[in-house]
Amino acid sequence: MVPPKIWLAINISLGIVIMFLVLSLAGVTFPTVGQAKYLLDPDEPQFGVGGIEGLQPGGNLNRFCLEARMQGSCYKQAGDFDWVCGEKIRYWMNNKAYYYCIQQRFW
Amino acid sequence: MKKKGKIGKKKKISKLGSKLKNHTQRDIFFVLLVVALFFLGLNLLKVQGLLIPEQDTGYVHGNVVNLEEMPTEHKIAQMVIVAGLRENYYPWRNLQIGGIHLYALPTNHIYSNTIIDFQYGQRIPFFVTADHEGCVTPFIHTGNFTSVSEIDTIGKAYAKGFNDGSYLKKLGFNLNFAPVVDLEDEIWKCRAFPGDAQKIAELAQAYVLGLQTQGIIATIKHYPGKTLEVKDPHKFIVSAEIENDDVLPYDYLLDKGDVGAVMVSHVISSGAVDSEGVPAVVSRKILDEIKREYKGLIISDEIHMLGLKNFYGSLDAMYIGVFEAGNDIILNFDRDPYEVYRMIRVVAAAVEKGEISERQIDTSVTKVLIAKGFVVE
Repeated sequence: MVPPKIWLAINISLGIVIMFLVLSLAGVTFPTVGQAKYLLDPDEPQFGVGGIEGLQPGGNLNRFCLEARMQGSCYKQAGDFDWVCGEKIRYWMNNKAYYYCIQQRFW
Repeated sequence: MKKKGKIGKKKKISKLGSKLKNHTQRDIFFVLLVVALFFLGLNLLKVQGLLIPEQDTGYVHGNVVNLEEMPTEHKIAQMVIVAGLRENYYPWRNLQIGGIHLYALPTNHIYSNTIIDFQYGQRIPFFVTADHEGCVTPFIHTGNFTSVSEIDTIGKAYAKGFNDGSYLKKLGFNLNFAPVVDLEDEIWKCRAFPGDAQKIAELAQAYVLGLQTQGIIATIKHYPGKTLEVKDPHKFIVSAEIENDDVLPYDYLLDKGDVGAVMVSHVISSGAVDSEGVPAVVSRKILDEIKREYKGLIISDEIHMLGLKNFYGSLDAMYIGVFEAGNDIILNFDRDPYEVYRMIRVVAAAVEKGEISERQIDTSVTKVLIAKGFVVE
């Protein structure tokens, strides 16, 4: 038998979930985990591309994010950079740059 | 005895009360659960774009489109190119979106199948677009292509355009966001043609002719230049001093008039091309100047790159800004089909209110439909 206090807690939680679902349906957007991680990460965004002359700085971060997204898949890896997108063409970035990219509407 | 009886009764009542409370709480739980599942379902439908009403395309008669019968929302939708993600197959088709841009896919077979699926039975077919720019290409998994930086003669440029066009045509593409005619590619070092501004212009013209011989519309980009330079990554609004040489290839190609499209960037330009403090893509002055000489398609760079959004402060203002400036095609790679639908409605409302000229929208959608092979009445 579930104690009444537990029922109450479950019901309040469900009520909050419903409220978020209704707001989301109405088009209200909430801060994402990516946004929080981006804000909390003290590092500078670092990113680069594996061009024909070796690793190059990635230019403007916004364009870099879009091009990285177009490579299809990104994965976490060990090394100087935390993330890499693409298989043959490589877009490298650290966590700060990655969390910036995943906030974008095209990601 | 009496006392014991009373206590017993009280205990029984409190037990009954707690039982009732438990029952009530449990009932409330089930009601809330059903409500939560209902709203979860609605949210899932929304994400999939299934809450967007069914669209009627009765204004298309064979290869003739009656512009007067065409709803404003459909005209605006035809001016939009979105990311061609399979998960959004239904909403993009239903909304009568103008085009889909395909990202890197593992095989040619998947490219072809994706394109066939999107186009099948669509009364106004999609523009199917790619960034086949040279060395950095989504087709790197499926073919070998010469870097643009290695193309140093007119003959080679034409041949590259012809081969790229033939490859894209076989897969089902009809619009390529290439060639890059910026003078330098500081990032990849291989997307810009070699040589001075005049040589770049001539090589690009040959590439355009080769590509378009195959029925693939070429796009010169990114007007007015200096978009592939290494910038301070913290500066999300990019500005550049444009010199005469930067804009020479664009002037040359737009003047010739063969190229099917030009893409305008988010750079805030000064100098030879002055966007007067606003990003070039939303500068009415710049777009009017291009239109004065050139009758092809004017395409915006992707609008969600933050340089542009930060400039406006709100999505709605940005949506209205890019249409109001006079772009014929807007690149909006938002993953959320409902947000794209919302953009279409926001812009349609602005047209109704007279904030955006309906005539301008008609002119742009006419250009789009003619480029797709339709007759517009």
